[in-house]
Amino acid sequence: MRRRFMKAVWLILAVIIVTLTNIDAKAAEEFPNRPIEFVVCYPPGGGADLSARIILPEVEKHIGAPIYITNKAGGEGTVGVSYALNKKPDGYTLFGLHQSSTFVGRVFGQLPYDFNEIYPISNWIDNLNIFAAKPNSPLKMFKDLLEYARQNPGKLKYGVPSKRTSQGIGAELLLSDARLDIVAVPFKGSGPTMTALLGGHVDLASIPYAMAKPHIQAGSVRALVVFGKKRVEELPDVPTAVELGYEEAPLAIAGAGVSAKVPQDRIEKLNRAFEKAMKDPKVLDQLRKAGFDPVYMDQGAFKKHILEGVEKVNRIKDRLKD
Amino acid sequence: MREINIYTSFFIMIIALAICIGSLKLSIYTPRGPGPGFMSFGTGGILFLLSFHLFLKSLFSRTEGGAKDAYPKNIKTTSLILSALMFYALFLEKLGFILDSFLVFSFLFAISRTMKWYASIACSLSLALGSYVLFSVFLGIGLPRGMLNFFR
Amino acid sequence: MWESILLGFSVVLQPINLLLCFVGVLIGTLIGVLPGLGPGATIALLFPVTLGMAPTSAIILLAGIFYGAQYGGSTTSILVNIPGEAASVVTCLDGHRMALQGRAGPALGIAALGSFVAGTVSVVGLMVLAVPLSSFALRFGPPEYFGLLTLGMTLVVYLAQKSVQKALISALLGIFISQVGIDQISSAQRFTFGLGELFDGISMVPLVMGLFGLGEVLLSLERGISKISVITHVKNLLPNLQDWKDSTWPVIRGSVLGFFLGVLPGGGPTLSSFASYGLEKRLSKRPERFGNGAIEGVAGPEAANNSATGGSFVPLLTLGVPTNVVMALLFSALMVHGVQPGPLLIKQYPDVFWGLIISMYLGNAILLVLNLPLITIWIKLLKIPYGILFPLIIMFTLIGAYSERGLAFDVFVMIVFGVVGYLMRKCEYEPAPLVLGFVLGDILEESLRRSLIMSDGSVFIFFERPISAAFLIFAMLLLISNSIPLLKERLKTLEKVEII
Repeated sequence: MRRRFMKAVWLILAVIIVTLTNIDAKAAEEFPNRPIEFVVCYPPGGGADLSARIILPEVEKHIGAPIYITNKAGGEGTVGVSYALNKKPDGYTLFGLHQSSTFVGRVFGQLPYDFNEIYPISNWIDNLNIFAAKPNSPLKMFKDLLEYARQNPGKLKYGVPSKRTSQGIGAELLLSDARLDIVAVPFKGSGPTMTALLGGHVDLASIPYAMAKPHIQAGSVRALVVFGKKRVEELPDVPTAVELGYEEAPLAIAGAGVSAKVPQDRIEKLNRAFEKAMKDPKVLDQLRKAGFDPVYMDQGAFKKHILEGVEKVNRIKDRLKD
Repeated sequence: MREINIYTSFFIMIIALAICIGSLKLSIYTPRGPGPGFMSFGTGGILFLLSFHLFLKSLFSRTEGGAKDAYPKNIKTTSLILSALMFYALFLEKLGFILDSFLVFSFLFAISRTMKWYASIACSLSLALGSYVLFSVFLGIGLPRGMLNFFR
Repeated sequence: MWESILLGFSVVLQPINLLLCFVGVLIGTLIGVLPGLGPGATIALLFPVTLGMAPTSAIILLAGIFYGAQYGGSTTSILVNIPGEAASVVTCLDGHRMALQGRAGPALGIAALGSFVAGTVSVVGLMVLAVPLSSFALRFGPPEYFGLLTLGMTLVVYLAQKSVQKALISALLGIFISQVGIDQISSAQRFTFGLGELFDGISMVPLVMGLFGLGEVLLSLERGISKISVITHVKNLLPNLQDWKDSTWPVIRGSVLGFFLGVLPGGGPTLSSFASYGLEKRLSKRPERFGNGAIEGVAGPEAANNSATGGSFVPLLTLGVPTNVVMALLFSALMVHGVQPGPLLIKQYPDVFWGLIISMYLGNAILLVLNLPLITIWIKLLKIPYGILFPLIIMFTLIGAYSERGLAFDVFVMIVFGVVGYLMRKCEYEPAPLVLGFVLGDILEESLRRSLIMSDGSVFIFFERPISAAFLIFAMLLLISNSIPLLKERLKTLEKVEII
């Protein structure tokens, strides 16, 4: 009886495999004619996942095929990318791109795939990051910070959610340009960094503006400088790093990519769908409200941005090492 | 238990040594306090001392405890199940959740021999389909579709 | 205060909010019962749906899923020894043992009722203490965490059932496993062998599911697959009078302890159930019952686990700092509707704050009513022949291990730890201390290193700060008081040897 049973199992398996290979063969006519998989490279519920879930329903409308999300977390966002790149390059598998799976991973040699195999389609969001201090600290403005840190090298400590995040890169780039010796205390994520600043366990913190916003309003945290070149609307008096004469920090990345081996016409189709979705004011509004800072970059700008990131991170490589 | 303790503690001693050697490749102490290898080196060290103590203690202990229980029994079933699970993990992404689960559960039901073959096939098919619907459709857990990627 | 509570009720009693509260806890119960699934995926799935709702309704629904999911977490731990998360590991120790003795009913019953009491305690705590507690939480910097976690590590002694030495070995292995992955502080790769899947460390769910769920299945199958169920006799469905007497104080102590630890992000919530178990074993007059089906070992930790959930809302609502994935989602859900969580939330949006809190109270009551009748169904499950039950158990562990990160790699991890758990049991090493070491190991290490970066390498930082100094001294006293009986015993045996 058991033998017959095993025979039946093998028979069913064989039938299924044969039918499926047939389906696969005739699938490649009009793109897209079956669901598209979007690989989010972080666990469900995180920021990467959430932004994709806000944007993709809109992209779905423009591309004309359902998009479903699979979460493949691990390797700081690289496992999902290599999973997607290992699939057939037919444009039916897209993946999320982040700093660690592009320029940061490239500089530190942590990419399990060829950097040039990624074709960046569009970037969605940037993180506005700031350097903040407690209001009762003597550091009222960036100038105070400069003076104090020059006189007391190594004395100040700043909290940061790991050095290789956009907060860490922004801060270290600024400190390296300004030749300041402020010691980084890495925490696990921006939440704990924020509480460490609020509790006065660190003198400064490099944190996303969205996290600090309620405390700036309530007067329990003071912003000293914004990394980047654009001032924050609600903080007209806080200078940016670019205004102070330092280099612009590379933007945080949360965007979409596809294998570079996908036929160009399909990439074009995907591009257009993402562009339309990212120009929709409704999507931008929802992203903004969910605490993201939407920024649309098309493929060219995105690619350039990633390459610039490689160059900038390379410059401060040693500072991010220990 | 005595014999088992001698073997296991010796095995753990080797693991502890490996941990220490692995930690040496990371920096154990930096000018700014403990480095990335600090904790694992310390852990490996204490682990070695503890297991070495257990090793000596059991080596010189006079009590011959019974505990024949400690040796694995029924190795055939256990290894069959483990290899089925390995198969499951290996082919999960290629075959997709439904197909892979169906195959493995038919196999598990088959070795458990509690049902007639048609009952267990029906059972594993409904299990695979049902859990896919529950987890993937209702609860939003993305289970791999594998080769069945043509329906929504 | 009363006005605020009335305001809360007026918000919650709107039909739509009542319905959403019910739907939320119902979905939450389902997720909670299915081991290994976190509420993250479901909340993320429902997130776009909540965009069209009023902010209070949205957060009532999403929060309901979150605390509902913590409620049923003990079910599979008790019935089939599969913990879905680290906190349920403690419930396995005595809960599953109770089930094997035919007392699954009382175990499940006390877990549900204990959770209800704990839920109530934490709601009251949120109402009265939210604001003062947030400033208490802020006093916890890296040195304070180091003190707390060192104290937490001493719990290994209480998890040991036979040999303390073997428990320590197990805990040390756990600490080592927690070190795998990219180091948070130096970004160095540790024991990853270049595998991308190991960069973020070994995941919790596959580890506990392997050690407990699969390990137990392999052990049971050794006796051969039988056509009968493991548990043949079921004594009673609900806790009896003695059970009540035994569990009253553990539940109350667990609720209070859990709430305070839950406020502390990073380790607090997971530590709470272990801490409650240790506390009850320490206070018990007959600690040898623990590990053999003591109902206090279920009641205390389950209560602690649940009220920690309430406590973990404190940082979000009063500081605007999300401390875990679910809190981050709630944070975004509020933000999308223009409600900014933070120090001004209670003043600016009293309807949101009080509506949420009262909905949590109501949700807890609904959960109790939902869960008590379910117990009879769960117990019937135990009568399924093991030959049919074990593939089901395996299926849950497989899906649970896969679902957290969506990686087949984690299924392999689960299988490996299943074998490890099986062998550990055979050789009388307990897996629970390993989980404790794994949970606390990396936070302990990171807080130690952070503290020393803060102090430029001086260890005095731990003794200059009153909270961390107090924790460390307490941990020391605890260790000394525990080793005295051991030393006495040792002396006795030495004397005996001499006499012989």
